[in-house]
Amino acid sequence: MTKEDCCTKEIKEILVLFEPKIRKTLLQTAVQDREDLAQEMRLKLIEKYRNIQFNKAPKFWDLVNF
Amino acid sequence: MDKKLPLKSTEFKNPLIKGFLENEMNRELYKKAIYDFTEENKRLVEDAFAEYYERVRRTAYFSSMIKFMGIDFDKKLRKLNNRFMLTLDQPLKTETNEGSTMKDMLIDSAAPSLYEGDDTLSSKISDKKLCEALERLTPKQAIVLEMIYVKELSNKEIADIFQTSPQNISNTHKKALKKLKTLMEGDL
Repeated sequence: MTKEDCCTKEIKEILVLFEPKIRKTLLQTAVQDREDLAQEMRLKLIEKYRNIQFNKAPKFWDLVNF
Repeated sequence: MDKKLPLKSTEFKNPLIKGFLENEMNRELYKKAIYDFTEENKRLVEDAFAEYYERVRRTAYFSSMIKFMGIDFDKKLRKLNNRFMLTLDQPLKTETNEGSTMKDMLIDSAAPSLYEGDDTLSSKISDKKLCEALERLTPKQAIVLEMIYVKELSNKEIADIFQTSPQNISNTHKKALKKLKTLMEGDL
């Protein structure tokens, strides 16, 4: 993974979006381990964001039955 | 939600559709498609919906991912900490001291002692008769009186030192005073 790959605008947005969630989850961990865990979480976020493929969305007009 | 939108109530309840239409832009697209039911307009809604759907999925996925990472991380740490325990955290081998660890045996020599201070009860009292009466109290009674009147500790604090209840201390206190009183009266 080069620097350009992991510094896209989308990834930055994701990291910012989930920062509060990460902070909140950290509260249950011992103070001295929080930094470690936060780093692992952010790393995983980036990794998953790049790799994960979700199911195709159901067709809107099928759901609405118009 | 706009009343003009022709949606059946069951579709309103679908949180996915509801959430999608709560967005101003999506609602506009949807309205346009309803009134002008062309392939192009339909496709626009479809695309917006697909994008919305993916965002929801992603948020849900990442949220639970973070949550479970936190839980797993703590579990792992606990396991490691149990396996490689610090000497001081190890439980004592004697079965009688259940739950106590090595570090409970350490005494902090720097901790302020509640007994500190040079004054004693008898050094504060000038009445000779009272001094004599004091010496006839039991050691426990004398100590409790000294703690209450010289060190000015509360019943609770004294109880903590003796590892008994505050009620017990109060009783000892009362009995000591009563004994002093009878001694003083008897000598008169």
